[in-house]
Formats: sequence, C-alpha cells, structure tokens
Amino acid sequence: MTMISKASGKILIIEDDSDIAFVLKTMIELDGYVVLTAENGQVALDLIKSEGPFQLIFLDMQMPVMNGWSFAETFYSLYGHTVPIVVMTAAADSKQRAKEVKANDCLAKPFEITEFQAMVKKYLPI
Amino acid sequence: MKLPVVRSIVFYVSTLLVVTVTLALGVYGFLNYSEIKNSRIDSLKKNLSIQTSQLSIALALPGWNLDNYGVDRIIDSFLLDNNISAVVVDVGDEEKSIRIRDSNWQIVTSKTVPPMTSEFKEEKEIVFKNEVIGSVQVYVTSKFIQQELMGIVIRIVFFTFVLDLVLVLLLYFLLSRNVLKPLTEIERYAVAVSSAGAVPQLQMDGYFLTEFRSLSVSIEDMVTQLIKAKSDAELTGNIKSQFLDIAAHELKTPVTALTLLIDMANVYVSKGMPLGKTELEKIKKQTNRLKTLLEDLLDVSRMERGFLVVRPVRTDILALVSESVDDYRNQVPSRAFIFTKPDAEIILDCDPERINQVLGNLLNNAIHYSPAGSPIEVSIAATPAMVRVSIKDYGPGISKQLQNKLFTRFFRVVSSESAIHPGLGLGLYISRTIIEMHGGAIGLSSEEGHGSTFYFDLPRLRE
Repeated sequence: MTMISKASGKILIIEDDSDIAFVLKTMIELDGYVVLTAENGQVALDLIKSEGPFQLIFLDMQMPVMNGWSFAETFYSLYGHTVPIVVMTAAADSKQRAKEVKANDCLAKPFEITEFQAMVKKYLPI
Repeated sequence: MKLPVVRSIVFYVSTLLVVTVTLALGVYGFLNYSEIKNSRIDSLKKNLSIQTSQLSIALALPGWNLDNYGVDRIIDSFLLDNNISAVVVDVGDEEKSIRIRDSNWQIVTSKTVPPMTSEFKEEKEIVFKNEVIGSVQVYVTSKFIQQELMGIVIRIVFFTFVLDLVLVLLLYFLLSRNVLKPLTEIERYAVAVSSAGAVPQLQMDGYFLTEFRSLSVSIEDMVTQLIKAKSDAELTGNIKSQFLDIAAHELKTPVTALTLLIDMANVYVSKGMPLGKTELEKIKKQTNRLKTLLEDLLDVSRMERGFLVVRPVRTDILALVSESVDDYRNQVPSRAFIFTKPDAEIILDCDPERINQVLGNLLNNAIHYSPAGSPIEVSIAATPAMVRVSIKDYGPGISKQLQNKLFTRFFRVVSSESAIHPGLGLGLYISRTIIEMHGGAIGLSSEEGHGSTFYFDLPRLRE
C-alpha cells in the first residue's frame, strides 16, 4: 500500500446506491480519512449515535425509509448546525435542494471522483 | 364592431318591412279608391238619369202652359242637389232657360252653357199628352266625388305613414332588445373566456329568440370542450415533463456510479493497484441497470407511437417460464423460487423475448418489494382456453387505491408513494401492453399485509 495516513477527520456518506457509496468510501479512505456509509437517513442517525461525532456528512436526497430532507431536519434538531453537510443530488436544480435542507454545499450527480475529493479537502484540509 | 352589425340588421329588416307594408297599403288604398270612385260615379250617373227623367216629367205641365216662372222654380228645386252644375230647358219657341252655377257655385241664369270638363250630361225630351214639347239637359259634376276621393287618398297615405313609423319603432325596440343585447352578452362571454382562466356563465335566460338560445348552448358546449381539451393537454404535458424529470434523475444514478467506478479504476491503474473482480462486476451491474432503463424508455416511446411489435412463434410456455425462473435462481441465490406447473406441455403462440421481459418485470418487482429471505412462488395453471402464469410474493401488499394506477402510464408521476423506490415505474405498463398485444390480460390480487400475486393470461391455441 502506498497510502500515507495523513488526513484526519471522520466522514459519513449517506447514499442508497451501494456502488456509489463503495467507490466514495474506498477512494477517500485512500487519502487517509475514516469513512462510514449509511444506506438511508435512519441508518445514518443510528450511526451518528453509535459512531459519532463526524466532521463531514455527504447526503443523498432520494432514499427509501428516510430521505435526505427528513434526515437533515432530524439531524439539525438533534445536533444543530455543528457538522457541514454536502448534498449529493441527481435533481435538475441541485443548488435549490441544498438550500432546502440548509446544506453547506452540493454535488450535482453525476460527478467525478476528483470533484468529490475536492469537496472533502475543502471542509477537511489535509 | 358589434354596433354596425346590429344596426344593419335593424336597417335591413325595417326597410324590408316598411317597403312591404307601404306596398300592401298602397295597393289596398288604390283598389279601395278605384272601387269607391267607380261606385260614386255610377250612382251619380244613375241619379242623373233619374233626375233628368223626373225633371222632364215635372216640366211637362209648366212647359205646356209656357209658365216660365213655374219652369224656373222647378229647375231651381232640382238645383238644390249640389252635384247638378247646370240645367238647360228648351220649350216652345221661347229662349232656352239656362241655369248654371258660377265659380262660387251660386245659381245664375246664363245665355249659354259654358264648356265644362269632367261633367256628365243627360238629355230628355219633355212630353205632354204624347206630344214632344221640348227637351231638358242636366249636367252633373264629379267635383264633390273627387274631393271625397282625395280625402280617402290622404287618409290612406297618413295611415300608411303612421303604421310605418310604428313598425320601425317597434322593430328597433324588439331587435335591439333581442338581437343587440344577446350579441353584447355573447361578446362579453367571449372576452371573459379569452381573458380569464375560469369558465364564465353565459346569461341568456331573458332572450326568447330560439336562434340565440341554441347559439348560446353551442357556444357554451364549445368553450367547455375547449377548456377541457386545454387542461387535458396541460395535464398530459405536465405529467410528461415530470416523467422526464424522473427519467433524468433515474439515469443519473447508474451514470454517477459508472463515472465513479471508472475514475476509481483509473486511480487503481495509475497506482499499480490490482483491479478486483468486484469492481468489474459492479460496472457490469450498473451498465445493465442503465441498459434496462433505456430499453424501458425505448419501449414506452415505441408504444406511444404504436411501433411496439410482438412476433409470436410456437412456444412451450412451461419451458419458457422454467428457464426464466432458473436464471433468477442463479442471479439471486439468496431467494427461494418455488415453481409449480402442470405435467403436460403447453404449446401456444407468443413472442418469447417479450414474455421473458414480462416475467423479468414481475419477478424483479417480487424480489424488490418483499422482505429478504421470503420465498417467491411461480405457478402455471391452464384451462382449455388459456394459460395463467402467477407470481406470488410475501411483501407488504398493495392498497386497493394503488392497484388501480399500477398498470397505467407514468405511474411514478401520479403515485408519490413509490417515489422512494428506484426505477421509472414503466415495467407494469409495458408488461400490460405486451400481454394485451398477445390477446391476454394482466392483473393482480393483493391485500395489504398479505403479499401480492401478479398474473398474466395468454390464450391457448384453438384445436
């Protein structure tokens, strides 16, 4: 392994497509971050309770069981705006989605891995 | 623009009626006039003949006696009739007794009879004891008859004029009440329809002209249909654009996954790290997902244009379903597929690829919408007329309300409940179309909490 563990910070990726979650997790772990994934908002809330706190949350919007809107609402009511949230959405107006859930940033699907990496580095600089 | 139109209606109708009335009254007046004139002149002539005879008889004795005074008295007594304009009596050798009326219609004695126009003249012999002793000439004038006739003409003209005037006024009132106002109301309605989105009411209750009644009914019908067509088109347009949103959204997920997987593969290659079988399988899986979405979109597009075709061939339906179930057993080893079928083979005409597509849709739905580990039961039952293929799952079941919408186009748009599940919601719509193109039927029986059974019937060959 050529990986050098130099970055610090715990990242939560909430995404129902397991392949997308898998690639994001794998690539960011290469940069040395600790990454956990949740397939929906409910699983994410449970993870935050058991594994938290996280320093950065990536949030998909359309998910079964608990979607991005419900998650954001519950998260803010429990923890306030303590952790930056980046919305990942396939919606046509991604910025509008980000505003709706008072997220810090947004990534419009489909995005490339470098865009994702840049977003991570923006909030958790190495 | 409305005023000239209405005025022209009033103008044309009034003119037509006035001309008709004037002509009718004129003809009537003329006939009346000539009848009166003829009868008056006839009676004048008759009177003249009688009066002349009476005068000749009355003058016989004084004429015989050469009693000039008596003759003049008798003549004057006849001249009491204003119509008589002159009397000429010639008896014996004496000068003629000529009594005429002057310009003031006074009786005067004259030497000669002045030339008179439009007069009638009657002459009789005066006979005394069978001897002709002279003659009498009586002149009557039609002057008074003509005066009377003039009065009749004036009355007829006056009456015609008054009647025309009354007719014009009445027509104008009636037409403006029953033509102008309904037209104004229709115009108000047209403006309201074109400017407002809401459907206004056409107020035609007060107007009795049947043309306007039926016109207003037709206009209202037309407007109602137009508004309905417009809202239907808007609704369809709206649903289609929402569907496009959903389609774009659905396509983005596999594209995102593929982009990221390929990015990752690049990173692995550049770092000299081995690319695992898992990654390639993920790429394959996402590519298939994309392919399925595109095929569904293409099928719906073909269906919309009527280009979807089925190519039926002789098929062993038991073998077809059996193979499909076996494929799924291999692809999804975590689920138990229970397959029951009749012993005898069943041959029918169908498009095996399309029926496979339907089976795939139904099996995928069963896998998707039932808990992991629950079995999926596929069964085939046959009657002499048809074959039923059923797929039962032990999922949460489907509400009656949703069951009605399930096989419709753009089901995803009209049912927000399914928004949390991925997919375009086209599978059942496409399946229904395919089965119906085979002359069969598709349906389901489901109760909430007790799973769902989807089935399709295909007609068997006729023996």
